[in-house]
Amino acid sequence: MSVVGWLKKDGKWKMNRVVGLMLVVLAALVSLVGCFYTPYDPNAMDATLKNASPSLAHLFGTDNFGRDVLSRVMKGAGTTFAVGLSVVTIGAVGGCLVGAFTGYFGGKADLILMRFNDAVAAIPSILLALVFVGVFGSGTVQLIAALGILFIPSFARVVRSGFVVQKELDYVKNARLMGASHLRIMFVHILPNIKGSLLSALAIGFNNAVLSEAAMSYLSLGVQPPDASLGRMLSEAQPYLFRAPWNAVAPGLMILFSVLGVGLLSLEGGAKHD
Amino acid sequence: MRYFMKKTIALVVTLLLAAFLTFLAFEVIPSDAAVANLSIDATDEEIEALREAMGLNRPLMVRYGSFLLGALTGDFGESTQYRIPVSELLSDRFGVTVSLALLSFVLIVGISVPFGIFAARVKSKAGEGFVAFLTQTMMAVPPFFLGMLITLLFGIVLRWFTPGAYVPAGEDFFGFLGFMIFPAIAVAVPKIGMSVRFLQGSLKEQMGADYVRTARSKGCTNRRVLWRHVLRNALVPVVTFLTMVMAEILAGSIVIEQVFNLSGVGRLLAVSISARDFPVVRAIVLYTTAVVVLLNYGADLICRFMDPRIKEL
Amino acid sequence: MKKKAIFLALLVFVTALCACNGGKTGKKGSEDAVSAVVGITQDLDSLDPHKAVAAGTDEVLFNVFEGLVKPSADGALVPAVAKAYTIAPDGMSYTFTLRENVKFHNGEVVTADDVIYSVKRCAGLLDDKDPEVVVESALSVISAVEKVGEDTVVISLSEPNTELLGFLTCFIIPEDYENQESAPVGTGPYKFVSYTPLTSFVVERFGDYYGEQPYLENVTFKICASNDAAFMELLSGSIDIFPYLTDEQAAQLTADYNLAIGSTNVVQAMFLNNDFGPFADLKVRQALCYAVDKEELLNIVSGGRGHVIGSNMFPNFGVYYDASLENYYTYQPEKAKELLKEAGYDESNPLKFVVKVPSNYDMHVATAQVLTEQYKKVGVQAEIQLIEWSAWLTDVYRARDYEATIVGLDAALAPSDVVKRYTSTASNNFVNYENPVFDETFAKALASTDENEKITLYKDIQKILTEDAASVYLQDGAKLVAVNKKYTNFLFYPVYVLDLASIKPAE
Repeated sequence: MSVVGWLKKDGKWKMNRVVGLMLVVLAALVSLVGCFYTPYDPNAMDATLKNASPSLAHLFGTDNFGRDVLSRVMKGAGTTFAVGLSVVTIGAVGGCLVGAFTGYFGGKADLILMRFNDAVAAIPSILLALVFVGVFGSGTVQLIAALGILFIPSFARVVRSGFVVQKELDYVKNARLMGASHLRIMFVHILPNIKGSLLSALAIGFNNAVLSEAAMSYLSLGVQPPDASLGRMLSEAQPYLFRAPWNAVAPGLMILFSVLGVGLLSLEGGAKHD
Repeated sequence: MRYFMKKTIALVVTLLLAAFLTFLAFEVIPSDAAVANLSIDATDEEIEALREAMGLNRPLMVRYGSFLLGALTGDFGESTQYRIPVSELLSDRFGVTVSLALLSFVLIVGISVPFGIFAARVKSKAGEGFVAFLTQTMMAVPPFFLGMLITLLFGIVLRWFTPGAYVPAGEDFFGFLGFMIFPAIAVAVPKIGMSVRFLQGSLKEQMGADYVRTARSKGCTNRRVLWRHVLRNALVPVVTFLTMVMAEILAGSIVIEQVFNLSGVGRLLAVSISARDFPVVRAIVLYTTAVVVLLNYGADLICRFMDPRIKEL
Repeated sequence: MKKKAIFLALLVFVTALCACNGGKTGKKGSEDAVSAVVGITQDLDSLDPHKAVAAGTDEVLFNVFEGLVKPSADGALVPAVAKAYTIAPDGMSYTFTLRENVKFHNGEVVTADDVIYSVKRCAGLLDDKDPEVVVESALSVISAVEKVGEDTVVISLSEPNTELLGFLTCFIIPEDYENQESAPVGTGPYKFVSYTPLTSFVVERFGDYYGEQPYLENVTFKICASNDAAFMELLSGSIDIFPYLTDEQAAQLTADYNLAIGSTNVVQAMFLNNDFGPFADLKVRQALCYAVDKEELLNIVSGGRGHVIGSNMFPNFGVYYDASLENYYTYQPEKAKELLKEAGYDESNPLKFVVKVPSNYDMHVATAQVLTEQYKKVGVQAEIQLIEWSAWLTDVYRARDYEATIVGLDAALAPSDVVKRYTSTASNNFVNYENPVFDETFAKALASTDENEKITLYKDIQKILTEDAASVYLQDGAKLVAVNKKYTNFLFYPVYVLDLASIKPAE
């Protein structure tokens, strides 16, 4: 299926996909370019340019250290998206496995796994974050691992509730009569049928992962200063909202674009029931 | 009856598991209450003596066992930081967190269910795009940032409320409401975005399902299809989602409580973790676990009621 | 139809909720002029003053408790529960005469026994020791605390020490009082009213106070969740005094507040673990000192406020402080590069180290960011690692498992307290500094009974530390306080206290 074909339906453009793709491509481009080129060194300071307002030299102004906000956003976006995508991937894969098995088979395995699921869901994220720092030291990889684990329970619950409903439906029974294996039924037959809620969960998950990165960076786990991430930039901009709002605008827009883009792409186009 | 027996056992198992995980976590993280409670220049002997007095030197399983024995009799120990019984310390904090959670939940359900249904019925491209844009934007704002914006706008510029002027509902209900509505909005906005998104997705999924087509082909009117069958089925995953949201906000939002200067469970948790106040932390974890599990049961019951085909959840 | 009605009802309910606040604003913190709300950002860690560890707690409890002597704003130690004292010429004993009829907040009169109990408790000399009591290590030289007559207490030492007075500010509490933790009782100008964890600590004027009655009748210390949250409350007018403004916040103060500027009385430095391979080399440590542009640092992190220091002491130590050391290491990047080359580091083999910074101190985190950039310019790669405060205490301060760290260290009102940690045997010598000349000079200074000699010796000590580049000394930060214009006379002390008894009404 070509990209254009995917973007069109019955000859009409699917706007959610078009706009979503544009936003995601924009966010990806900015962060990709940021890996190789930024207008300024993102960490270079200038005491004479503290919180300077946007100008031709600094399109999005400078921050409290006189660092170029645009350069920091370009560099930080890459970090943030990498964290967000990895966390959602871990959470979704883990959650799908746990949710599918427990929902489909039920019984003892379901009981035990779900108890574990609940227990993990109840562990405060700061505590888990500190455990990871204690054992593995602080860093971006540890951040991804800790958040990834925290994201499993919610995915597992969503997937499980889908499976519990679906496994009673006729098509599953038919498939079983036709001799399909359990694994095949679970991942080939049922999983596509809960695509809608799973896609929603994925989009929300990506959104939450990006936001959690902000909260976690604040707790000394993960991205360490002076390196930028969108979340860290946003929380650092907080004291200057009155005097230098541009500190928050660029990272805020970047988060919005990416999350909005992913959200739009994951929307099942309304065409289905027309 | 058997159902409740089973669920109670499951609850107890989860609580034991969560408590044990917390014990393990506190084994791993550096520092402990003895170090946190003495001056930075305390000698090793002094720290050792306090550790001994606090019973931190006993083996992990012994501490776990004695905690369980205490918990059985309703004794959750004493806060190492505040030196008052944990139950006393927590009961004051619950009021704040629970009232915030209830208020936010009313907002979330009250706004997102009608809005979600409306969103699922929107057919024009522009309308769909607008709904998507709106919900995604609501989701994309970090809560601390939203809280800060709300405080700035309504607290400082418009002066609709005085930041930090929380009063308990028992003292002045309208004063309480006039303050709490703002943190509740900050909690609710991203969740509304999410649950609208969720409900909309789930509804559309159901609309595309075979039974809807069948019902329609039999001449059912659209409205009846939507309300009778679709909504009932579509709400199952949404109820699951909403209970998770409720559990999350009942556990206390550290960020929102900090921005609005509320002394709820979330802030107490943050303070207790950094002071290594283990008795308080494990009590909060147990509380959170109980909330998560019980709400899940609640969700199960609601789902079973709505969709009798679900036998076991 | 029914469904529509439900929907409408919901809408009405939500709108009603939103409308509730219309016109309704919370109560202002200070309606009459004699009460004030003070914003603090740290919860009290104990109401028993001898169990309190956090500087923020001492700061507040200073209003409720007093010692035999207490610090005054000009840096002197003035008699409090004692009315007079003498120090034996050989520095082996201190004699205190108690003030008559000093009352505790519970109405009891302070006796010599209360004083003996309190001093012993702080020195760890009681028979049944409470392991939670924070023992002041400087008081360990006390060998006996005895009563001579009804109103005289003699403190004898096991070795000469003429600087103990600065530690005898330890708070006097009643001997047979059980509820210190929940309802503290002291002798200060304010008495305890109530405390709610994470919410507030409330005190009122103590009518039987022996000294001048304070102007403020009721003071509420409001415990704020964060600096930002506290500042919002300040902007809305519900806080009268806020002592922890950042430079940025100070610039945004509304017309209702005055800005008072003092100093934080801490030595902020990048402390170097002298045992860490590269830092064992004097040249490397000196290079790190030459590579720092303190001027730029202050401009970036605190708007140019703050006082540059050159050794492990700060200006409020007055005569003991050696200001000439402030310019010992000026910003000379070329010299730094040279020294590094001599030590064997260049572009192909750059000096690398990790600097651990406690994440709860924004000031130190900001400082670390500036320093790493400045070091980059001389080819040094410093990597920041944020660390939680509790973990800093165990890993960095106790286990000394670090390469470099940035913190601020405060001190009691005794010059020995601020440099004692550099003696090779000190248990808190977390920089692993070792210099026999230093040890010798310090011992002499501590025992010296001649003030002029003491001053010279302490200046020598500071110079030794600077010449050895024991660490990279940065600044004594500025303390910015917002004070409601209704009030005046907010006093700064050379120690970490928040004195509300001195507040006066503005004319």
